[in-house]
Amino acid sequence: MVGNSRLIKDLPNARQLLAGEGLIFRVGPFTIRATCPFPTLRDEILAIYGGYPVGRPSDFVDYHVNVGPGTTIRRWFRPNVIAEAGMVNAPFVPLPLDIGVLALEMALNWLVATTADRYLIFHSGVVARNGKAVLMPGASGIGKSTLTSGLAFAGWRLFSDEFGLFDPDKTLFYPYPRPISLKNASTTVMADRLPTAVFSRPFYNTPKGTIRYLCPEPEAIAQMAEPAAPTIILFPEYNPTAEAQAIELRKPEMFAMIRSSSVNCDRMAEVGFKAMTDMTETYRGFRIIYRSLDQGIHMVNDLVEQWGV
Amino acid sequence: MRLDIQNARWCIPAGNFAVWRELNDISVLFDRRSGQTHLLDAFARELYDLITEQADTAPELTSRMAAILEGAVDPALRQKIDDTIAEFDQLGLIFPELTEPTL
Repeated sequence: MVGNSRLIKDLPNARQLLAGEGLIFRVGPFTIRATCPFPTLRDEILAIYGGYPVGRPSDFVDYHVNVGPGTTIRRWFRPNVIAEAGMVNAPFVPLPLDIGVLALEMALNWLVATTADRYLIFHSGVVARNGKAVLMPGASGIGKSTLTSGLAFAGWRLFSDEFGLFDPDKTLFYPYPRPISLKNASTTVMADRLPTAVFSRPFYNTPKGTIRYLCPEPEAIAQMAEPAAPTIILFPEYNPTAEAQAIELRKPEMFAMIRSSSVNCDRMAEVGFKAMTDMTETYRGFRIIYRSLDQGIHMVNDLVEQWGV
Repeated sequence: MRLDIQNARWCIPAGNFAVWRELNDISVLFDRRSGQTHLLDAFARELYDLITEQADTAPELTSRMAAILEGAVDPALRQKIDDTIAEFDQLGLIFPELTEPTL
C-alpha cells in the first residue's frame, strides 16, 4: 500500500525524528531508520527523501543509519560526518559536512550490496514499462545513471540507477527507486532537460566530482512495490565521438558481462548461477553505444520494441 | 612442488559438484565446492568429458583426443592437452590419482 502511505514531506515532525528517535521510511523493499544530529544535513536529507513513504514504528527496519560527526570534536570544529550502521568493518569514511548527504547514500548502497541476499543484485540501472523491466548494467561513469534518468522521465518507471534487485524464485525485478545520483556533466544536462523535476543542490568536490541527486517521479515511488519481469538486457555506453550502434552479444559473452555486473553472485552461489544462466538463455542482450541522451533513449525504445520478450 | 603432468593419472573429484549449462559453443561449469564459475570451450569440455569417463595420464588422454579429432598425436595437440590439464588442476577441477610409492 505504498501509494496510500503518508509521505515524509507531509510529516510535521520529520526533522525532530531525524534528530532523535529516528525517521523511518521505505525505499522499495527496504525500511530504513535514519538519524542525524546536524540541522543543515537533516534539511538536505529531507529535501531528497521528502517524497518517500513514512514507515510505522512497528515496521521491521532493515537498515539503521546514523549520519553523525566523525569524532565528538568534529561536530563543531571543522565538522565532518560519517555514517554508522552498526556493522563492524564497514568501509565508511568521514566526509566534510557540506557533502554529508553522500555519507547516507554511500552507506545505503553498501548496506544493500553487502546484505540484501534475498535478491541477486546487479550494479545496473533498471527501468520498466508495462510490467517489463530493462536491465542496464554498467561500470560507474559509463552513462548508466544519465540514461536511466532520461528514460525515467520519458515514459519509463524508475526502478533504480544503481542496483537491479532480481528475485531468483519469482524471476522478477524489484524497484529500489532511490534518488538518482547524477555526476559531473550530466548534472547540468539533466537540470536543463528537466526544469520542473526536483533536484538536490550540487555537491562539489566529492570523491566522484560534482554530484547532484534527482528525485524520482512520484509515480515511481508510489508504485515501488510493483515488480516487473525482465524483457531485455542492455549494456549502455555513452560515447559522443563513436558511431552509434547496437551490437547483439553472443550468449557466453552476455553471461560473462551479466556475471561481472552482479554484486553478490558469489554469495548467491548456485541459485545465482542458475538465475544468471536462465537470464542469459531467455533474453537478448545488446551493447549499445550512443552519442546523445535522446539517441540512447530512442535506441532503448527501439530495441525493446523489436526484441523485448 | 609442481606435479608431473605427464606421469600423473588425472581424475575427477568425487561427488556431485558440477552444474553444467551450455551457452552456444561454450560450456559453463559452476563448481559447488568452490562457488566458482568456469567457461570451457569445446576442446576443454571434450577433454574434461574424457577424464570424467576414465581417469588417464596426459599421453593417454592425448591419444584418446586424437582419435576423436581423427588426427595424429602431434606436438601441438600434446601441448594443448598439457596446458589444459595444468589449468584444470590449478582450478581444482581435476586431481592426480594417488598411487602407492614404488619401493
